[in-house]
Amino acid sequence: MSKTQPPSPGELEVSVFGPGYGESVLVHVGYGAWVVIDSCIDPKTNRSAPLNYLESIGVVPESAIRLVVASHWHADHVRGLHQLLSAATSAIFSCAESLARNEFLTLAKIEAMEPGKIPLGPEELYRCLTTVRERAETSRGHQHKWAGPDRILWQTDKHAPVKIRITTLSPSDEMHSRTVQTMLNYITAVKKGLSEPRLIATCPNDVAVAVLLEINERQILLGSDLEQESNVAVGWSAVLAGEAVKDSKCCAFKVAHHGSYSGHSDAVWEELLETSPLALITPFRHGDLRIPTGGDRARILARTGDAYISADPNLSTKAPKKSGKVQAIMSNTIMNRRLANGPMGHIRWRAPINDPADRGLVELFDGALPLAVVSSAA
Amino acid sequence: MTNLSDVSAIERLISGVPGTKLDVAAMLSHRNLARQLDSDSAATSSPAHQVQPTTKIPMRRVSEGALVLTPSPRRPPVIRHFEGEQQYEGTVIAINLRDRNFTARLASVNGNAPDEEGEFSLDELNGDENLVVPGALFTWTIGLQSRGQKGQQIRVSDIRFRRLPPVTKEAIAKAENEAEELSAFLLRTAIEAPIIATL
Repeated sequence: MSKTQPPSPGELEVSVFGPGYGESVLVHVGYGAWVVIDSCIDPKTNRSAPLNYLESIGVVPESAIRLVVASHWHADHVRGLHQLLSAATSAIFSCAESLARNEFLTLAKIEAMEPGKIPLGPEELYRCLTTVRERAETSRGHQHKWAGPDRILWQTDKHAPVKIRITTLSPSDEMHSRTVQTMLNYITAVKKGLSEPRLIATCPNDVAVAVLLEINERQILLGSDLEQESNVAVGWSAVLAGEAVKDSKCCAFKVAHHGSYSGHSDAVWEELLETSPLALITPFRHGDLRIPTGGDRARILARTGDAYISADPNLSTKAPKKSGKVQAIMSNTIMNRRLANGPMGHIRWRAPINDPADRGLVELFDGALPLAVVSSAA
Repeated sequence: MTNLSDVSAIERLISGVPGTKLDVAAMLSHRNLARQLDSDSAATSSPAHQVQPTTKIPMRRVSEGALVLTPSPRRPPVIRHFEGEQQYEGTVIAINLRDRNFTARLASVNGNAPDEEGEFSLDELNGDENLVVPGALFTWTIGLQSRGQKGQQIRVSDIRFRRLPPVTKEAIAKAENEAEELSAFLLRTAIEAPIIATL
């Protein structure tokens, strides 16, 4: 099927974008309504990848995007999100409530005072929340809702041709408290001059928003970067203890935290997913980190052979050479100079909404590949 | 010895150099670079700056805001101008102490080229090692520098970590006020009930 052909009104589409560092999930829930979770930048165009794609298939984002979720503030999940939200003028915006608290916003604002060319994420989210406020203050009314455990974000009315329910499963109350405390400690350190005023991504991820999509009979689990810990009040353990997933058997899973071990939970695969579900993954290629590792891939493939990844985590593309003498001096200074990202890999799954037995069609574009054929680490 | 903070002294020192466009304020802002470049010019050239002499290249126009000058007891050559050819802003991703290097992500300041990554030796830094922490920002500049009475040109590579001044109390207070205002609005106006939509 042509990449630029839009889905039909009765067709579900889940598109996962990821060039190596970055992730975005775009879902056509039916009848022209789209939901976006996170954004990443297409290295070719320097624009939000889901926005690029929607425009390429002739979808008008102003009216078609109904919900935008920022699953957390890390740069690989939010770059281009403000551009996307600016285009999605009818959309409801959602993120963890802890990201709208003073503590996080203060740090984001401080970072915005000295922005770098490589943004870290908080500043992008700050701009999104400022846009949300501007819209609320004008004619559009209130357009934001916080994500949290077992929280229904969005659902269709009883007359809709498709029954849709979108529920956030995290962050738990404990994760919320930990985030607020962490940010508070960070501000104290900045005030004392003990820390640089730039938030760096740390583990565990206490704000990750996992999402359950229910579209007629189908259920789809989008795992964000949610991690698993021994503390039952946080991460996947907290999700599994919730009400929203009590009877869930999801046919598709956006694998959590790029397929890493820290995002893995046996119980998720055994209790929340069908046998051999469709697994959709984006890699995390950042510096020396290459996720999923060989061990991660083997673990996922032992659960399902129907697994796809948006880009090869071990791909390394040499950066273009500069002119002779500049290149010579660069080569003396930097080792292993390479492009940070490859092409914007894209996994697209389409299936008829009204026939849950039809497993649909998976298409791989621009470097996306089956997980089983990923190359070995160099 | 000329005081580097004395603008008029520097202006006097380099006055009379024909065709030279001066931006002394910029010079002063580059004085660390000047000191570094000065040490490069000594016989024991520092490995921090890979320098390739490129003599016989005609002198180019002065690049605004890039002129640097370093007085020294050893009477180093006067740097007449610096013309950047390639500049990146980098951020540290990881540090590998065993191999004495760090991995960085690089965004080109010249145009919209895609981000790059690579490894730099910690030994390149000449005293900036303590600034190398994950998330730290730096600039990497490759450019042509002309110096000395004959305008000899050399190509230099310069890695400079951003020394952020401590955030002032006023800046923090301003950020806190704005954040508090935004937060109060967002928390007050968030939708509580599930959103019921039509298709």
